[in-house]
Amino acid sequence: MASRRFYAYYIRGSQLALVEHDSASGDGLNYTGTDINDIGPSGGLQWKSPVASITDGLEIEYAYSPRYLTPSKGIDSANADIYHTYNCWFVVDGYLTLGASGVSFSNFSSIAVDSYILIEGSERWNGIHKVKAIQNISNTAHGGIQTYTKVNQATKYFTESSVTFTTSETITGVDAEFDDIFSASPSSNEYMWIAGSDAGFGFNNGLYSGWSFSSTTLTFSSATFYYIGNNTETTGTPNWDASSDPSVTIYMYEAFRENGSAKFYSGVDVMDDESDTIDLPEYLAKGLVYYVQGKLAEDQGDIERKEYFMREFRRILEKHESSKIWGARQLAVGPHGIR
Amino acid sequence: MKVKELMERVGMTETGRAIAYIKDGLDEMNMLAETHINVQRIDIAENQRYYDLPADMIKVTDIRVKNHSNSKDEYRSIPRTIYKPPTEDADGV
Repeated sequence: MASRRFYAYYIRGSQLALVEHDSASGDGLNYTGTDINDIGPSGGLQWKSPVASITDGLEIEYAYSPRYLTPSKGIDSANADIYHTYNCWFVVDGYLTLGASGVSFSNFSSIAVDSYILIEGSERWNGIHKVKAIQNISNTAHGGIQTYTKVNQATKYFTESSVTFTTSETITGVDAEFDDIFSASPSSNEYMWIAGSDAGFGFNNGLYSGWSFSSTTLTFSSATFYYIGNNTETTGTPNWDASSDPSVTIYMYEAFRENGSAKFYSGVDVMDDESDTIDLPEYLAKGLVYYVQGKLAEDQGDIERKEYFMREFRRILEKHESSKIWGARQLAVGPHGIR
Repeated sequence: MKVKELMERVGMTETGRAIAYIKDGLDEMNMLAETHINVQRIDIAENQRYYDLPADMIKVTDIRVKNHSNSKDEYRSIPRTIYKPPTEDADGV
């Protein structure tokens, strides 16, 4: 059975800070109490960053703007899929890029340059993104789907020409500066996306963790390879093909692995022309009409008209909210209320 | 309602400008009264305090954590702290 925990949060800029109450309790001869240095004068020091990893532990419910129509989850056998799985993201030239080991997104007819994709289940990138470039998984500078979404984050990147993939699951000829950028002995949550190998689907290129580096040799014999097959991520030992890469240029990107449930829809219909439907109940759409009229009046410098339309906009919103509530309204007694 | 119908109602002819205002209106609407809700789950990592909020988020409506105040794997709402803890965090900048 899972143990009972206590959390709280606060907001720091565009991030959520999660803290956990780290308390120890028990009895008996072998009980070891919490050290006085970990308590503080009022117990404040017992609130700290989460003390244990929990898969899918944090759930954020939020409102978003319906600027698109969510398509159906279409998967077929003729490369016309519109629902795809990816297992990591990395940054190429400052742009968000999605990677999926063993998948060549360029084969799918619904993924095209300047089309839109809708990400769901991501730890960070849910929503609409415009496709900038699509690359095959083999012999390319990054592979996957590069989007127009800018990422304001310094990420690691290393490229090396004339390296060799050997039969002992190593890459030789990597400059010693590699460990100035990436870790020579990475922790379990450090990931690297490799691109550039000439090997086919599912071999060499893709997402790895657990590599090691020494001198000019990058070793993957103990690494974990994250592979996408049938829209599901599986983990295993590297699928290594040394025959096709006697001397190639490889590209290594710091990658951020999604939690296995990250998907995206391709060919999404976003609101960009007159024929598009606004995804709102008819009554709220009337409120939107007032809003647009208010903005037009504001542009014309007619503040009185603008205030009138904005008031109507808010009135319709309030009426719509009230319309969903039936019956008498009562305040429930709080859990700490005096009865 | 289609974009075209809204443009006719307000007497607009510029599509780009109309769509920009409609998008602003949809944002404003979700800020005041949520019309579209999504839920995102994130892995909690040991000693990691900071987590990115969803890229398409307009407004947070609830934050829940698995096993908060229970041992039945239930997700329960967590409180917001007024003061941040004085202890350092592993991923702090």
